[in-house]
Amino acid sequence: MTTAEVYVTAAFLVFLAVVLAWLVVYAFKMRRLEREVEEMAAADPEPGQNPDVPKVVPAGDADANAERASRAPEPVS
Amino acid sequence: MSLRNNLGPAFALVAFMFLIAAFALAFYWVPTDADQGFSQRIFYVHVPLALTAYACFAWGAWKALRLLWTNDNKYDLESYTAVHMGVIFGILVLVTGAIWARISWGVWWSWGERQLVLFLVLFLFYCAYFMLRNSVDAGPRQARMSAVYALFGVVLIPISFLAIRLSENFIHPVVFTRDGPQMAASMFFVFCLSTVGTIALATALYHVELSGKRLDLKLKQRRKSYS
Repeated sequence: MTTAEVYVTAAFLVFLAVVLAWLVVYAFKMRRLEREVEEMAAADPEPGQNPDVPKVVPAGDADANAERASRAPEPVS
Repeated sequence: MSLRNNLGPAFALVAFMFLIAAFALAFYWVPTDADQGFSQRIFYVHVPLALTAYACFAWGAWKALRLLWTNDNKYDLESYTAVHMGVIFGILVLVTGAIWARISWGVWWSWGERQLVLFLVLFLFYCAYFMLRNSVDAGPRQARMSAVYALFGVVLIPISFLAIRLSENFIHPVVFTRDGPQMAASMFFVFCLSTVGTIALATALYHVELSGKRLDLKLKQRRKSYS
């Protein structure tokens, strides 16, 4: 290989190496996020899936809160 | 799955096909430049990378403008991701440019070249974006400050791009003039292939990174609401 060919190959390989490094870093990050989601799901199931836990609604969402209040069982006296 | 969710893989596929074709043609098909010889082939990776870096910074500035215009915080993450992609591609521009300078001019860097120095200024300006962003607590204030900064940086893009044309004493080659591209049709074709491939790659990486950052943000918010 001539000197020019070595430099040209190096330039193309740098491009490839940086893209691959980015992919590796992001694969690790996605794996970490996936693990965190699984841990969170295991520790506390989705509120909507558990009938004992009411679905969390923002305080300002008056319609949803009103609907939820209408569906709530009467308190046992 | 919606079309929006398919954009990342679609762009990745386009990038893969175009870049493989462009690099193969750049090595084995395009004629060797009469002036620079074989080393001119770095052009097919260096210039598309530079254009992509400019495009990423411009996209980040556009999203920053949308944030300031609409006050919608979703644009903050999009602007941040675009600037991050621009910095990654900026590193590649500087490294491939240094390799090209070494083989063509005999030096890794020339401080006398306005084009090089202005690109470095642009790159460092956007590196400082992350320092600014991380020095402010997360929230609307951080989003607005980052947006204003990203918007200011976009002014440097045309200056950096035009520097080579405004300069009188330069050794950096000028390929695109008012008369069009100063190269053979086959060279221009490979350059276009490489540019489309590089921009598609940046778009694919942008979508993946944005999805990751959105998920990360949602998890943080959820954890915060539990604690």
